[in-house]
Amino acid sequence: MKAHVKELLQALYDGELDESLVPVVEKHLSTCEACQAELQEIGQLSSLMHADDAWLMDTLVVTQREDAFVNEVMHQIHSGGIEQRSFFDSLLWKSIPAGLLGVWLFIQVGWLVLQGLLTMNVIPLTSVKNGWLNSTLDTLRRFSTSADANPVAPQNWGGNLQEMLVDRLHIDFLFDMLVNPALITTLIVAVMFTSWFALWWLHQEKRYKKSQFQKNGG
Amino acid sequence: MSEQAIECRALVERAQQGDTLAFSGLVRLYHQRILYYTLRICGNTQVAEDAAQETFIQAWKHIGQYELLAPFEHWLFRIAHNSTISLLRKQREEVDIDDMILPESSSTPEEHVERQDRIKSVQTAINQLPVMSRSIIVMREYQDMSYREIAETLDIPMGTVMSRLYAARKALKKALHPAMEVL
Repeated sequence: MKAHVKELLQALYDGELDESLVPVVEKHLSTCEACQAELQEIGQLSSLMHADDAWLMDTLVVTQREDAFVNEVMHQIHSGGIEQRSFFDSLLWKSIPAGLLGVWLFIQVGWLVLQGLLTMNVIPLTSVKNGWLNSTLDTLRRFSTSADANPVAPQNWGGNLQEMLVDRLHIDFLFDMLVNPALITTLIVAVMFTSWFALWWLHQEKRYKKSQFQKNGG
Repeated sequence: MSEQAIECRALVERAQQGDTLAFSGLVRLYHQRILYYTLRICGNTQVAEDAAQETFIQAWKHIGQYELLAPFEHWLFRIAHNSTISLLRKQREEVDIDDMILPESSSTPEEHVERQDRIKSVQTAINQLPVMSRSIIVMREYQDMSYREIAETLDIPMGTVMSRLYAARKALKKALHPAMEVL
């Protein structure tokens, strides 16, 4: 008899067998002596395990122990100053600064490596920036030259802007300042860390006030 | 929802607010089942009491993280399982099955000795199982938990519960065969 068939017998005994399988297994049982013996053994084992169950429970666990047990647990909680833990005590919360630092370092190092590769011209500068640059210039050209679409705009405004943007130095400066992932990441990480610290500080304040209140018999 | 479940829910909500009196009510409500569970896993009254106490201390610490959607006793049994494993590991599982100093009952001395021997042989057989299988068989046999409840409590698949339970019963039948025949 295979193990999975025996598992079905076990499930039948425990009342856990799928209803659709019950008639199938019962039909098999009526003709298979090995399975009948197996089912009987499961029942015998269960009877043996429960033979002294109630007696053991009564004598060992319940008698005169309840108050002593409850008092001991509560004494440990009170005398040990065991406080309830919250999300702020969890490993996840405590690992947030380490995670932020990791992300910040990763972006900084990645950006430095990219800059190094660009400087050495391993990756052509144009391939990185041209996509962004060309699309921005196209948009601005369309906007500034379509006087009909925007009659308020001065006729020569677009031309001046184009000249300014075409200047590679200005473009590089603008690109580096606004799209520099290292700078953006630093700002985001700083804001997130400050928020994390503020929340942690508020939680500590709240916990301290609560413990003072409990000490004063509140 | 049963009366006990309603009472339990109210106590849990108050305990989550830091009410120790409500928590002592929860300890009173569940200590018997937890103590019996840890006793059946360890087979030693002192270790079982330590594990049960540790269970409730851990429950107090983490009750803020308990979500009321899941049954409280499942959550408590999971803590009891982890506390017992942790305690057994600390003692490197070298826990002696004690004689469970039982008071003399109204039965004859022979019956008393026979009963003690039977309890000890069952416990010895349980203690020879791997800890996870022990928990599964104890939850099924002594706590009357369904396969699904065991799976949710121990955070394992239902199939694992079934196969471990089958293996545990097979091992127990082998170890307790002579006693089964006498019964």
